[in-house]
Amino acid sequence: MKIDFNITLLIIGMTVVTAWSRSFFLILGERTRIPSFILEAIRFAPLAAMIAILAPEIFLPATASSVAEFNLKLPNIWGGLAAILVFYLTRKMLFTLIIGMAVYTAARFWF
Amino acid sequence: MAKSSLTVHQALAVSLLVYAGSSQLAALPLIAAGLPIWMILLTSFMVNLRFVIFSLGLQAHFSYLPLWRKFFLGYCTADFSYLLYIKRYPEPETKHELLADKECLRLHWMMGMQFSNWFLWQVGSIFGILLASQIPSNWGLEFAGSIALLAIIVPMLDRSSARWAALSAAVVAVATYGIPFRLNIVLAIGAALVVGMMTDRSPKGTIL
Repeated sequence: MKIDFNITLLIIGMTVVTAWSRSFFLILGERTRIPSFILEAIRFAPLAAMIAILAPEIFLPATASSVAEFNLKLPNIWGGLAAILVFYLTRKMLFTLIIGMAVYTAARFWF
Repeated sequence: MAKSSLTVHQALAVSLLVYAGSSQLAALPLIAAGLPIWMILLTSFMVNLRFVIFSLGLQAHFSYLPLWRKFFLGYCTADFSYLLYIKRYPEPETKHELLADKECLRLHWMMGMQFSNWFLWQVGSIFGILLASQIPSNWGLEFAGSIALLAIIVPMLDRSSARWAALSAAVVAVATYGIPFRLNIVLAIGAALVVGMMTDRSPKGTIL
């Protein structure tokens, strides 16, 4: 196996960047105190991050480059909305997956 | 990843070491385009900005650890481990509680969560690298993965402030989709924090 020096360097670099970004404020010492209004505000951060990852997957095509490609004929939207509704009402994951995928597949062939 | 310009060995190394799905996905087209390393690293950092925000929330919890352990703990903290940890342990332990907790229960809870997350993620990722060419991409399997996230998100929408924050995050993330460095995620978090704080009527100190 030929080891490509640049790719090796890149992989090491990306590993360090991953660790550094995830421990960015964590590595601060015991004397540092994060102001409480910041801690109070970031309660919403993990929820928002999950939604920010999920929402474009539901409301935009996988290949989209901007919101201009929003289109009501997209099967993701209907499958996604059905899944949200089913999970909200039943809280059953397997059922949600089945209905979501069924609506998604139906919408793909319908439009 | 294996459908890209990397060899299988390189893809495996990336999966095992660069434990960050979104920065991997962001880096691949740049690698294929032959961009300079520093630009790819900058992109990785920008795509990881949400973890910088998360690290703020963990600081007070683990400030007692030695530096290298904090660094490693941070490295292993992906979306789910942060979310589930902070949901279970909203407040950091006081000095007194910390002294009484000889077994470092929280730290080990977190490490267990991280290891399971890491392990399952690697199984899926490596499976994907080795079988990439065998899996048809038109079944909508990715979509099933998206739906599965609902199981984590929906139970968090238990208060009106959380629902308003979630709605604004969704609108901002979709409306600004496609801006560089996946900054739409960071903008969505920003919007959710502002809206969440504005609509929050619960007494101070309650944690989501």
